[in-house]
Amino acid sequence: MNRAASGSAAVVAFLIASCAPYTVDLPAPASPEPTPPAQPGLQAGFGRADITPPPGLGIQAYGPSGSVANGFRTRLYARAVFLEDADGERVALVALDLAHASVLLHRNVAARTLETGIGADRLLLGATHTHAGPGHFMSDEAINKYGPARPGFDPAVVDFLAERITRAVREAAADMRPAVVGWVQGQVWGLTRNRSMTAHRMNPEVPGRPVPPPGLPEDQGAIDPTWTLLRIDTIDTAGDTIPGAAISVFGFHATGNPAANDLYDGDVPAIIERDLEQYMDALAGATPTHAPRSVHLFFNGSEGDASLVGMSRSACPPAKQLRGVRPGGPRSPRSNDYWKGPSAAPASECVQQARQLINGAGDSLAAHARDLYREAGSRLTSDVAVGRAFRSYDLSAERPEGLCPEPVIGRGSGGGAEDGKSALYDWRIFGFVDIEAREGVVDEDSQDCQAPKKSLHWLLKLLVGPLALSETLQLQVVRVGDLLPAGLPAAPTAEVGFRIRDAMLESAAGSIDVHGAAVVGQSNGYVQYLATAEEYSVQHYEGGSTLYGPGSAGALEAVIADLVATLPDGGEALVLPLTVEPGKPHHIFPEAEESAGAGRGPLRVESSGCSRDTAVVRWHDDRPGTLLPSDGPILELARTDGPGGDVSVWDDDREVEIRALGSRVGRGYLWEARWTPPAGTSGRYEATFLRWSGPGNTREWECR
Amino acid sequence: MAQTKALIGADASVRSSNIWRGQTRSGDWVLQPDLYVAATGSKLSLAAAWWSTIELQSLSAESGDTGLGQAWFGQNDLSLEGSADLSPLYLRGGFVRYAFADGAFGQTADAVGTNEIYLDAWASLGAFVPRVAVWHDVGRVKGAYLETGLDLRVPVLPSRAPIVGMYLSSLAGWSLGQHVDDSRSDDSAYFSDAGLTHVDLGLDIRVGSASRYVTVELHFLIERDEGARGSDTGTSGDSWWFGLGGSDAWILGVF
Repeated sequence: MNRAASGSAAVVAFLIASCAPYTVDLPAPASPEPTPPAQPGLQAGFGRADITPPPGLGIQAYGPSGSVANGFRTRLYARAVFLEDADGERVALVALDLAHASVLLHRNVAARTLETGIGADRLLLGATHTHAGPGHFMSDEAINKYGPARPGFDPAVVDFLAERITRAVREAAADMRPAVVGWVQGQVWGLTRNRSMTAHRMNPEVPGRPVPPPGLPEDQGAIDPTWTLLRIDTIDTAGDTIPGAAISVFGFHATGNPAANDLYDGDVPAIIERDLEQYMDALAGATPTHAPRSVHLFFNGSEGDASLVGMSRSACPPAKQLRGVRPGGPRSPRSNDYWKGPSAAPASECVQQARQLINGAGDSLAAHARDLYREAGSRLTSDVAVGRAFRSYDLSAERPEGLCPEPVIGRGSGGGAEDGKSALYDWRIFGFVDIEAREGVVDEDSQDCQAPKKSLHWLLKLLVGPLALSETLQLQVVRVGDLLPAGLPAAPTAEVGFRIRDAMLESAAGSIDVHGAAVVGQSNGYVQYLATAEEYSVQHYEGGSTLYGPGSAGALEAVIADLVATLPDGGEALVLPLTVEPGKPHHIFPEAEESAGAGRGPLRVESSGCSRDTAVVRWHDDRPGTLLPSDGPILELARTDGPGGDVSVWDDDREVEIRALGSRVGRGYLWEARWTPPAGTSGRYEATFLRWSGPGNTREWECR
Repeated sequence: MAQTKALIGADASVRSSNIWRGQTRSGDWVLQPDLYVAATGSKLSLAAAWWSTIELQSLSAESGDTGLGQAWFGQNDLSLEGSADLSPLYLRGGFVRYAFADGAFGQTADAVGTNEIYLDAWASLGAFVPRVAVWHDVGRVKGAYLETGLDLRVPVLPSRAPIVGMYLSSLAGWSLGQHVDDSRSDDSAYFSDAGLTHVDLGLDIRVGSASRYVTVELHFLIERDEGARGSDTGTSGDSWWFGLGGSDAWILGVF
């Protein structure tokens, strides 16, 4: 080959490589055969890992309309419960304060927890669906590109999350003690509502569904009110039970934080989780210094069409496209446009209002959790069998009967949900090409497998490029005594949840002693939504986001029922090798400085004081990436001589906001803590900086 | 996070003509690169820039500002510019040194080089971007030139990746003191008469991110002033021009 031809070949090879999708082959870590434990009876262990990333990542789930994280409000955690029965059958259930649980995460964690006997088939990884967690770790390019405020896939985020989630599982595995469990299912009405009533009304009336109390608005009665709570106590050497963990399954969209929010936050589930954890700690006599010792795993249930009452992210105005200014000279090209959302500044009224709504809704729901927890205390038993069944699919090769061959996003999806319209809603390209990105757009004449879904407009696809969607599927059933939680990699609507639960109980009848089932959405992957065929027919947001056509919910229901049927024989465990296309890697996760902490001078507090209802302290510290919030507490704040008595908090408190403000050349990085103490700001304050040891790591000030 | 960044940036545009204040300085294809270093904060930035026009057919007899047999670089400008983001109002202003090649305006380089100060302001108001800019020559010409414009955004995508900015643009140039009058000969004036010098109507498209994007320009130029100092081969009358460019910037450091 001559030089020119060689060069051409190299160029062609480069172009092919550039155009080829970036694929990641995932491990297929199937669990080892269980071995009977040394101790008889049920064993349980609990673990917790902080997964709060450093500022700088895009917040997941509001897409380009969202914000890049500048810090955190409540910390994000992975909470783990490890259960093992007398036969050595074990499962690890892990709840993540994240928007989703990707296949990438699930398989990466499972590969690291094999030593504990937990492979992919025995690991249930569920997400709370907070809309204030980080992005960049999903398995499909479309979500990595259009899910977080800052587009792109970053393997470093996957590694960060997987490593810490693994810590939680290992901690739980190392904590195994004799245990008892008990579960209850209660109904919670009046706090959630169906946001997609037009679609929901398409479902036929089914006898036996929960009946809402009289006088409840129709949309509030059209949800799944079932709250499943599993209580796990350990047994000490004296034979007493010690509260230590709870697992909740309840369905609603954790969209309390608006798109303008610039802080990581666990949203409403974080309030529910912490409240019950503090309650359990109090019962157990535990007095942890910072994070609660107990763990409350909150799993989202049939949340597809469920929103919290009064919670609307439309409280903040939408972002605007502006022509800005850029550096250069008088004849440099003009700047490209940019998008400016509502101010993410701490004083942003709509964001602060949303946080108050989060706290209020969280407190109301937490009260129900406490009631259910107490009720479950009367049903504790150690005579519990543990099991699982698991099946994975590479949908490009084989798919359950009823699923369409290709995933397709509908126009009903593009415009967003009824209470959360996207920037694309009703958009007209060039001002006149209606791309019909709104709910209710159908193609009546289509005979396609996806009918009546209308795919997103070709012009939109041309402009934004290919939308690689998930082509993997992982379904799971876990058995804890006579309760069957099912892990579903999607957001099922209320009616889908009912049908799957009915199918599970029907499948179990006569073969295993089961009295309850729960659907854990957002688990082990993400294929977006699951609407019933009836709901799908009107192509609202949930139907438009049901990627594999009208038969999707029915098909998955059948697979789940099949998996339940395998439980008496030990449970199916089909862990296939999978390949995903998350998009080309980007460097988004802030890197640590090599000289982290080296030569760091004494702590330098820049300022402290009060502003309106908030106490504020600013200090110089390491830059994000070197300072990892997940490495431990950053600061404590205390007030004395204030109204209502003395009060102290640490940086995980829901009334504390931590932000990275910016670099200070030669003086580290400027951070800020804002605390809204109860009943006004007057009093004497003390901030203790926990990363700084020795005298001088505190700052005192007074506000009147 | 509020922070100050040190940037280095570059732009390069290929244009079918070199148009300057409505005057066609070269009717042939030109490459117009620039390079700048800047310090940018959340609201303010300061940049030092070099801009040039390179006549791609300068060795032919049809060359414009470079003059026959001259170097390809027809013009080299050095500028110092500050800008402010007062969203939705934006400002930029500074000082620019014009250094033309020998032959530009039919004169020697020393005869036409000059300095200007300028202020450029625009607002992004929904779909409309009104703009006003004024240049004042503090060197040889000693007079002002004004540009007024109104752009209309054509909605393409409400997307941040890629960001698509498409505008129908209109611009009018006005001589407020850079024309021939009693105090100024045509050797030092750019325009023949006071008032409207030209109107430029165009379609501008930018696609990419805030710092890395491509630019497509298609413009129709209506000349209303014959120009006091014509290029030896400059064209006159109404004409089309087209441009294609790319912009990128790299962060040197964060402070």
